Amino acid sequence: MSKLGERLKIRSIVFLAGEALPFFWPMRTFTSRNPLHGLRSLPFREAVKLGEKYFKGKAFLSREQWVELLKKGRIKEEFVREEFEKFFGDKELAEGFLRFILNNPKLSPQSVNFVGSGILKDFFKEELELSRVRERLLRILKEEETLSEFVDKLYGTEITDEVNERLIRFCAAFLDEGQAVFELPYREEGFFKAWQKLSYSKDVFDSSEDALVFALKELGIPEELWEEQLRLELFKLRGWASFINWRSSNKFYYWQQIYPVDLVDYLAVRLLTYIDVAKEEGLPFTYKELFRLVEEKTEEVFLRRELNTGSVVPELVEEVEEVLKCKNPSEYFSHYAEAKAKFLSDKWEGYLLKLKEEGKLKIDLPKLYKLYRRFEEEEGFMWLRALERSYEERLLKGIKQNVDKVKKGEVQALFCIDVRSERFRRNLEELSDRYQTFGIAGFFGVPVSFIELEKGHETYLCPVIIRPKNVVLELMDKKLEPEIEELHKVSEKILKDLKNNVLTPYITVEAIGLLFGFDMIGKTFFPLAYAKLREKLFPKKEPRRLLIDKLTKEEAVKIVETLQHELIVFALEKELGLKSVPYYLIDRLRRIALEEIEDGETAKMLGITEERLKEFIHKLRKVYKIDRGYQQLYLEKLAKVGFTPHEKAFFVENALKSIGLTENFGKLVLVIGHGSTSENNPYESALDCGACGGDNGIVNARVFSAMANDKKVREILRSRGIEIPDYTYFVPGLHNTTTDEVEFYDTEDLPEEHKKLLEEVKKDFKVAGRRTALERSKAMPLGDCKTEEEAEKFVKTNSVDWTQVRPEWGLSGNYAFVIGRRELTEGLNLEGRVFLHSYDYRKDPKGLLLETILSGPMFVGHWINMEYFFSTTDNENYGSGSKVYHNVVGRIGVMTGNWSDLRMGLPSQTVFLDGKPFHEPIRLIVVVEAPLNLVQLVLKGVQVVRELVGNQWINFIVFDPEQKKFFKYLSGDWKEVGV
Amino acid sequence: MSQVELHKMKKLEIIVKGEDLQFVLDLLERAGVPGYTIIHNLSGKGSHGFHEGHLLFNEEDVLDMVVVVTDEEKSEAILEGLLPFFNKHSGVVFVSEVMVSRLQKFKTS
Repeated sequence: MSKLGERLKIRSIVFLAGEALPFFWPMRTFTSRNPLHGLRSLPFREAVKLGEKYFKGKAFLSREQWVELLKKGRIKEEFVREEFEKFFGDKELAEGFLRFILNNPKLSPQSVNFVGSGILKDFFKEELELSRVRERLLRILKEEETLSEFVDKLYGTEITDEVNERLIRFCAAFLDEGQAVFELPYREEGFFKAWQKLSYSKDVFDSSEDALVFALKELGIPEELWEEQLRLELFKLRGWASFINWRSSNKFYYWQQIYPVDLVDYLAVRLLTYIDVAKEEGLPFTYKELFRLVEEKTEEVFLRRELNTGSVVPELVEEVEEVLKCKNPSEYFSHYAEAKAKFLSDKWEGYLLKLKEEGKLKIDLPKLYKLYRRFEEEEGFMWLRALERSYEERLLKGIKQNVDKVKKGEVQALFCIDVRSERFRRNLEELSDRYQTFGIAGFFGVPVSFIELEKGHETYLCPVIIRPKNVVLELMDKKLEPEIEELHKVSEKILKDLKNNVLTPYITVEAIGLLFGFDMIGKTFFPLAYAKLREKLFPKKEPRRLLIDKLTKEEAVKIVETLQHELIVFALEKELGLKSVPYYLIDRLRRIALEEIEDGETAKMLGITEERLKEFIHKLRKVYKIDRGYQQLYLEKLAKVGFTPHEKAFFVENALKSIGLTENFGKLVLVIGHGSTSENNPYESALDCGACGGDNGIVNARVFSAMANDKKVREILRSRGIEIPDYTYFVPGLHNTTTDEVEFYDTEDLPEEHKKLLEEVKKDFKVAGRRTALERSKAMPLGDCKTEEEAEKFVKTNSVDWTQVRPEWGLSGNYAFVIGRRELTEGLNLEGRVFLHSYDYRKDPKGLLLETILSGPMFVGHWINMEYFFSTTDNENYGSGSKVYHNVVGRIGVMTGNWSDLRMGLPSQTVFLDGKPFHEPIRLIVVVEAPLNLVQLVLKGVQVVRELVGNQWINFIVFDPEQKKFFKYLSGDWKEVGV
Repeated sequence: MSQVELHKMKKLEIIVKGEDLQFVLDLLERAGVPGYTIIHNLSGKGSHGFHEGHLLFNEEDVLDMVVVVTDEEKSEAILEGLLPFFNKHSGVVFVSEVMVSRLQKFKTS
């Protein structure tokens, strides 16, 4: 195999190893995702098993926690009993087990102390038979532990920790984005090369691939195990590894462009570090050596592990230590095995006898042991299913009552599907019949790449799985100035102020580049200094105007010309010290740089030599980017600004159709996005709108409303069968989910009549908001408010208190996603725990809209649900631990304490209350109101959803409105569900 | 009639799921191929274009094909690189002999 072939092969292997790593997004756009997303094509059951292996994560609550949920009434005892009966196939056994568990939720064999008869010894002796032990150890060495872990467990060393710490320090230093005081040298050469230079002071390896292959061969790991071993290595610091993975797939991220890194680099550094650290210990550390040890000195390996993993029989600790010192483990082994077998037998005997007695079971102990071990494997699933069925029953019962409801309203209000909208919508509807509410993904179906004046870069306001194709610009103020002049003014202003700054020309150009910092060739530009400058230039006042119309070619050309013009003025002063150069000369220079004309007499006119002119032109092209290539790029970028009337109509039509709002429009249609406010909260993004990429939904609301109010758009919609009357106005608003206040925007141009109506609406919204706050505050600590006024004050304080670790419960408690008409769920108190997406199947004969909803918003809902699920079942391994110990790293993420893996998932405060789970881990219960055959048709076309359903990541229920029946997808088939 | 000089090269046609395209392109870049051609949306899904909005969420659910022409040595290395990948992912590679003029377009220094 050629060198190149070997390099490409190892890349491929690393890619495969890294696929199980969870997605990572920088904190500033925290988005919930399924930590096991990489394993989603496996059935849930298998995936969580692998999750245990790689993440060391539990997928189920403890028995104690389940029992508590049952005692609180969240789980119906009947369902638990049914699950047990199904498993045991025997009512008495099921009853017995249940009784025992309910009485002894905290008991486990480990906690029992009993002197028994040794009746179960044989089971354990079998496991402790030498060949079985050897087999198990080999399997562990090959595919369950990294070499460093294996050595640590063998000799009680701390090699893994040492390797981790060195890697963390290097990663933090290398990946720093301008926060560090002392910058790591050699970063431009890449992660591996920089490390190599710093560690060896010379280039030992030409590339990280070569280094990694070398390390793997040096450690003697057979090639067929490379992928698995590398995966295990990656998971030791999965936070950092995931971040590196994210960086390497975002080639245009500014920091990645200047200081590149990827997983091959990381693994090369990691394995070479391991070799260095392990060599210092002077113990066997290669796969070859360890393999030999396991094969030839099995007993010794076993006994050492017993000691170092805390599994040793307590009374025999000293004896074992002695034996290992004297080096005769093989003779001692059978004695130890016998003792351990008795030790385990006693514990189990004690435990099972109690079970037998309290459960009134008539089964002999060895049989009971075997049965119990099988039960243990299944227990978590049984409880989970019982919990899910309990919630399903409650939800479906409620829906069934509402099946025949039909509603019309004077004012329509569109809210995000987010669970927090449910409370507000319910309170609003209860307050007055005039409101008809709808649920739609909070970006209102319009994916937008937004350039905010202060930020100067693109922010994607849409679900993270989509890439927007249209750009929306924010303009300075609401005065009706021709856009060009305004853009001209802005660029002038930026340039004037930048001149007084110490920024280099490179940054200056990039900064101004394309006026509002469009990503150059798609990159995100983020230097801190520049960002700070922009914030100074554009202090936030009142809302600005959004540019959503397409620029004409002439306008775009004029903008680029203006930009180039300004740059040349700047350059003339900076490079040649020339000021007040007449316009016609500036234009000449511009056209020379663009190769449109020859330079002729220009040098003379400027009063400089031909040489200097040539130099200058060269600089204009290379440094100031005034050349044909960039010209084209700028124009292409500007072409992405705004939407054509047809595009606008398309988005509006799709959105309205998907929620079933295509007729009976009232005078006002309120389009309400949401966001949250909190202080000192790195997880702020997690409380914002997931559908908007972890940002606040007001921009999308404003864009959507502007489009829907556009006369040309309405004409097009009319031609397509959607008649929006002239008296209907769309008004954007923002629901603050921390304070439950709703603010409306862009209302200046409403006619008087509508303004009056809006005033009444505002009053109603205020009342609904306070009622919602009161409801919510009851679930929060210290939130025992008696009146609405108290609640209002309470929630407002939360939003500004920087010591508040829990400004709101957010999406904690989420358990279901209902797709259908609002009437189905109207009036049901869903406690702010259900995603509600409006949908009218009668307007969707081909099922295309349903397909969009399922593969988009529902999919995002599933991700959120899984994030909360796993952060609850195992907050240390799937979540990010307590906020109190979090240290923010640059703007990337958080660590626990000073040096740790980057934490992912949700903090404990989000899902726990006083040490107990507040969120209940339930796989999303999806209910779709549509004819069964339509749903089946749709699922055929959407693989991602089909996978979720088939692999049991979600509970999928269809309410067929024509047959008036409920169907659930169970074990490959649709079964009718009686409600 | 003028003679056009033709040179023998290898053509690789790599078909993968949309979500895996980036990996393949990355591999080709690292192999140092000067260029390649991408054909999108082979499955017929997603070729509905703008008006049906199918592509809105399903951008990953399509098939793409990458066509690259290169010399024997490089093509072998690329195949070696793709082997582990295809052990776990759906997709295919077709290798064929092909003739090209303008050799300089297909070789890197």
